[in-house]
Amino acid sequence: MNDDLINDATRWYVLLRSGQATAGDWQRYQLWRAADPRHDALCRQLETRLGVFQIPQAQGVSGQLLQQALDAPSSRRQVLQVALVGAGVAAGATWLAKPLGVPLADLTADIRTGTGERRTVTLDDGSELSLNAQSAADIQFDPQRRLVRLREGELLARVAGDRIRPFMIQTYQARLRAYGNRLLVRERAGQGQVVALNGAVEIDSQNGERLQLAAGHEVHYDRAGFGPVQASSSGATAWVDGFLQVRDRPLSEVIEALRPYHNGVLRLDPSVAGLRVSGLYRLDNPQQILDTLARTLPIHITRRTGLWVNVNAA
Amino acid sequence: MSGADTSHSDYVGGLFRSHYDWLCSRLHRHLDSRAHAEDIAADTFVQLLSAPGVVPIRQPRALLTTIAQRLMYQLWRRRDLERAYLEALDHDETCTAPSAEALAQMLEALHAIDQLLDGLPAKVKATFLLSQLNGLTYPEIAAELGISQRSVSDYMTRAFNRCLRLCLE
Repeated sequence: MNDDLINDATRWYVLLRSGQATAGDWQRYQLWRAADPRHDALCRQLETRLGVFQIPQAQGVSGQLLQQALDAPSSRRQVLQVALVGAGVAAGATWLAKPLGVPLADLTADIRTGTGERRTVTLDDGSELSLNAQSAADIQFDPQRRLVRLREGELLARVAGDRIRPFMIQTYQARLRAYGNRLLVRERAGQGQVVALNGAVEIDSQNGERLQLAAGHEVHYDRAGFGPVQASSSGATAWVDGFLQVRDRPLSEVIEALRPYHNGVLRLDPSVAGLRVSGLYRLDNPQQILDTLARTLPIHITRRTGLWVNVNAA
Repeated sequence: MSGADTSHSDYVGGLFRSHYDWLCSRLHRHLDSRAHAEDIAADTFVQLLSAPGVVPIRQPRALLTTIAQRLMYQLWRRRDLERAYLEALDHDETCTAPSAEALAQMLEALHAIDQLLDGLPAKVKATFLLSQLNGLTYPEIAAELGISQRSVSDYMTRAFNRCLRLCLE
């Protein structure tokens, strides 16, 4: 009985997913489903189970990417059987000591912004921090120093004067000390940038290098060290007011700036990454920015479920 | 709680007192962290508690080992999955780095999907994922995977059959 039920339901779902089901097929399926409470109950259960796919879907994770993960070999079952049942096999299990790869720390950050969200907070000393979208920071003030830990993303600091306590920002790869009262720092996926807007910033990199960045200058850095120091472009802080301002910058930079505002996956074809872009855009509607870009550049935007957006050569 | 339940939990409590330390140290030999070993050992007894059908147990240590083994296998599978997913994300250069929250959610989902599709051949999983996640039609899936439409429909049948079977378990 159950076999028949499962086989019938399977046939329906296989047909409906094919992309070739007609309106009549859908109607007949509805009739079948309503004909017996067991049919309906089974369909509901299946829908509940398949609900788990909504998470990768919402995050724009493709079937191909998921497949790669599911194909992970599980070779340890046998090792374990030998190890536990066998006579005291003391085979080293160092791979077990590794922590789970989830940086859950961000969930507990003092200040945190989600996709498309910006926030400005005033700190105890009167300083102000503005966080760009998808950013997280902790505030650790003590009698010796004012320390802000940027865990992820981008922030603009307006530093209040304090004769005793220096104002410092710690990121994963750099430590900053502000000598002026306005600076901007961003670090995402290992790529960092500091802009000294007003007054100098001293930057210590992870590998022991130190750089004095004069006011009006910016520098990029990564694990390998600092890039060249350049005069800062005027658009660096435009996001605070909800704008993206670029003048003759590569498309890849624009896409990077849009990522924290885009829910899902945004893919950029490397062959168009270097196209130059100038303009002033409203950040709050990244889809519209992409459409605008597509009208002026030789690019083509394709969307799958809105969450998965590809930017390709036209 | 009925009398039978009470005696069962008393019974498991007795097993706990006589075998918990043994199980911990046995697990600890294979798990670098003592805390992990204790977690797995405790979970083992919890599983035993929720399975009243197993009394009386003639060889408690053999049963405890079997349960602990399954729990460790699940833990390891989870880690394999997590590692593989993070690696796949890492190699996917144009993909934006997810937030910690999104990632944690995704890893939970990944584990559930892994269990849902467990045992199906790789081609069947690939077919089902392209249909379920990318929303591709069968002709599109056939083109993407380089297989016939007939195979796509066979693979979808196998995948739905398994999912529906799980629903009735």
